[in-house]
Amino acid sequence: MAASFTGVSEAVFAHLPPAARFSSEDGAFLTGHASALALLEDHLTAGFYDILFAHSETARILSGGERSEREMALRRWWRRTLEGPFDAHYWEWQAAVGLIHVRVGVTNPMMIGMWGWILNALQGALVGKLNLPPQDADRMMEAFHRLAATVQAVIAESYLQNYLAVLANSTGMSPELIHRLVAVELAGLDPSAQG
Amino acid sequence: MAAADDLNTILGRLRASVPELSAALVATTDGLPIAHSMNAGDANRLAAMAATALGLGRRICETYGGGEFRETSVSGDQGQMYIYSAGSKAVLGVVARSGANVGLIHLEARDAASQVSQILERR
Ligand code: HEM
Repeated sequence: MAASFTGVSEAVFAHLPPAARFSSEDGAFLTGHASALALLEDHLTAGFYDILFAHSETARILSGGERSEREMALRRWWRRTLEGPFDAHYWEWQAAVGLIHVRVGVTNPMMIGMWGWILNALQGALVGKLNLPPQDADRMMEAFHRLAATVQAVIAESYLQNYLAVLANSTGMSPELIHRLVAVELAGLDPSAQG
Repeated sequence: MAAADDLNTILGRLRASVPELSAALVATTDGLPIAHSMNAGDANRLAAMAATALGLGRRICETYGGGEFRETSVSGDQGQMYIYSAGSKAVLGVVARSGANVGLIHLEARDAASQVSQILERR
């Protein structure tokens, strides 16, 4: 039994301060430059999977099938992101990725680490490959940083909530009971944590 | 409030009928203590543990086709805890020193669990 993707993405949006969260202006700016950004797909995909295949912990996860098939996950994500819209469906899909990642063994450190790599690769490519004027490149990176924060938050929160939902279902403990166990246990460790 | 008084009365009667009990408590299935009578220890923690045993017990019953969960117990070399389903919303837990009369504990505690269930289902 999975956690609700809508519930997870709505909760993450409520927690993210508006200034830190991907905005509709960010979305319009990205989709407005979609045709230029689409040219980076091969560059980003090649670099992303070169790194994952060169590291034993991540290579193990990608071992089934052809590399070109594995690459489709990032390609599909890049294409859909450039296409927009950034609607409820898009964020629910990111929440679904949290569950897919639990199933295939992708941890949050792997995901967050690769986000850092994507941002650095984009920063270099916007000027180096797409020859964007520095002002546009800065605005674009601002949008990508907020996209990164928002997607990471949704995937990581969904990972946690799905992990807990499965634990709750398999042991018969309600999520409320699990929260209580955590609170009682932490209160026992540190009296100031009781609440 | 009336329900809490009724639950305290039930726990008091239970402990009077089985003097070897050192604790008796009623908790919600989410682990919140509703009523307790304890010589020592942390009611919050014991309530959360009783609810955990209940949840797991129900799931085990479902898995092996044992029907509706009724009770489970945990024994150490110094004592036992018995955990009874008390309707859909609550659990009754009792703690006894080792050597206590298990037959008497079950007799009294099962009866108490069914009274707890009636009180809480009425609400
Ligand atoms: C920037 C970080 C990441 C993002 C945005 C991301 C995004 C996604 C998306 C969107 C899917 C679902 C694809 C679909 O719907 O078809 C997916 C699945 C998957 N991801 Fe990630 N991911 C990230 C990091 C990683 C990392 C570090 C690994 C490491 C091995 C990984 C391995 C996988 C695997 C194995 C799948 C299952 C689908 C398949 O390979 O066919 N991902 N990811």
